Amino acid sequence: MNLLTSKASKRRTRPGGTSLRTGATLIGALASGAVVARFLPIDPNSQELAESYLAPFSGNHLLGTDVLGRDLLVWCAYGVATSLTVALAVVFISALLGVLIGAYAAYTGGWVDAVLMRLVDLQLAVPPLLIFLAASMVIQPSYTTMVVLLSSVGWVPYARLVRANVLVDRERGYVAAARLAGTRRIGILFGHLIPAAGTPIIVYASLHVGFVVLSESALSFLGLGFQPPTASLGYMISQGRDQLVGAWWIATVPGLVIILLVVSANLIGDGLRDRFHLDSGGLT
Amino acid sequence: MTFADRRGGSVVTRFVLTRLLQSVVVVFGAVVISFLLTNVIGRPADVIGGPQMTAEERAALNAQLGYDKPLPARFVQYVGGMFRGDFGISYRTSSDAMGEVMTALPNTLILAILAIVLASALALVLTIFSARHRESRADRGLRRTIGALQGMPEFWLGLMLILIFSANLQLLPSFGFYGLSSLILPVLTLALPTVPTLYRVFRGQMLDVLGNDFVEAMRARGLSERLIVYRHALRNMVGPGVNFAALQLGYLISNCVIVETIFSWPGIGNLLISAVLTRDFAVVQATIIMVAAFYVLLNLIADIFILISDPRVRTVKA
Repeated sequence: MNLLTSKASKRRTRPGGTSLRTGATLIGALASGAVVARFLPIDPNSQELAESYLAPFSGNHLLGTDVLGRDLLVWCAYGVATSLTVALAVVFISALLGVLIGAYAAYTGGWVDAVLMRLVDLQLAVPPLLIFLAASMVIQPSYTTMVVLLSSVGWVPYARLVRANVLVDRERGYVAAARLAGTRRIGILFGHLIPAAGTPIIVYASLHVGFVVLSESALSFLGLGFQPPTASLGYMISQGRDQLVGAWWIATVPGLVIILLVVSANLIGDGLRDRFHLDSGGLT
Repeated sequence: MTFADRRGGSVVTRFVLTRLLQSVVVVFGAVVISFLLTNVIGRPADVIGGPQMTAEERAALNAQLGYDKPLPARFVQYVGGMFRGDFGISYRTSSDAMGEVMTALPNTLILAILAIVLASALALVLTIFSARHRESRADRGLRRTIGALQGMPEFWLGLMLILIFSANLQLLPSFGFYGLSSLILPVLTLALPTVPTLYRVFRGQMLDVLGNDFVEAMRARGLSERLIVYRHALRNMVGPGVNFAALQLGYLISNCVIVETIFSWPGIGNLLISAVLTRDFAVVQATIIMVAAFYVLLNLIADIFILISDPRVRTVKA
């Protein structure tokens, strides 16, 4: 690097920097709002019937209140906490499962690989939303079931990513070198092949966050996800559906929060992709 | 290469046969999934009956619905019934479950097909704009805006459209079917969130084509950028473009669940939701199998379309 290049200009010229910073700032603000709400003596379920149907910026409710007089700002802060908790848990479990299954299938090949690829085809043929709907028929919604449900289809893209990367990298010289040096299979898998697939996994994971947030809110909207006392953004939109004419803000505000969440997660993903795409030559 | 050329016809046939076989496997997988969900995880009588049902009533209901037999026997019966066209009976309406799905399917297809056509047209217009003005400020701005559209939940978009066009402007009906104007809001709700995905892929395909040597040769010969984009680049991305749009149509059908609920549209999505809420297992199974079969069929048609539209694919071993 040129010694004359100042730190500031270096940062500005890195690809994807703007997207990354915007996304991280937005999601950071939303998450800290959610954390602050947790530590304040407020309850999203507290109802003040005398203060119901308040429009935003009226009275002492910044974003207004719903039919039962629940404060929308407090509800949304708790809803963000619900969404992000579920999203992070699902992304973590899916990535872990997908990486292990994909790497194992690619490295061993044979029937394990064949079964995996048919499972992938199947997941592509039956849209996740239908599986969630059918499953919610027989499962009581809770944090655990929601995370299990969303992870049960979430691991597939990770497995495909890792499998594709391992299949290519397996033939590379450095893997042959490691094998010749006496590194065992498991060592090559965890020491070389999986870390080499790390970049696409991280990029996909950040885009996956947005997808999970949308799925969870859709299920809650349909009445098959989180219900009170758990605060969910999708549930509040379903409450606002019947009040669209009289109280537009009940459905509008939580929807805007969902968009902010998803867009900022996607911005982080896009930023990471731009950065790694151009730097990948130096990384691998 | 020469081998494939000489026997080009048989390569196509073999490709189609292989894909048909794979399709059957995938649909069978959907049958297994729907069976497991409704037979192993939950039994209808337990879910329908709730706590106030006595043990005898529960057993009677289980027997009536055929849930008193062992699991493998039930699976054989279930699959056997399908081959005879019997997908079970809806316990709410006492009518054929697949019949109900087939009645609702055309309504969903109208929505989904109109939506994919609209979304593809919009995405194509944006792609051409991006290609003609690539890396300009307008192109970058467009990509940002499109990114925001991607984060929009369909159910929220639908409600906002109702709020604006039905409640405030009173231009369009918000639910049910009263002629063509009832189609506008549901189709828009389905189409708009699909535009970003299509646009991203179309744009990538277009830029790939524009990066080819033959395009460079055309530029060298002095062909205008306009002619290159409209006459040559577009033609080269029709195959992959239609292929991708067909795959998106499969996802649109699952998104119909949400859109149909909002607009009270009498399609399979609405049927599925009411079946899920009332635990009508047979209808849920039939819907899942139908959607999977439809998706697999679309996939097959899309692949065959690529084969027909692009002679180069035929010479590559399938």
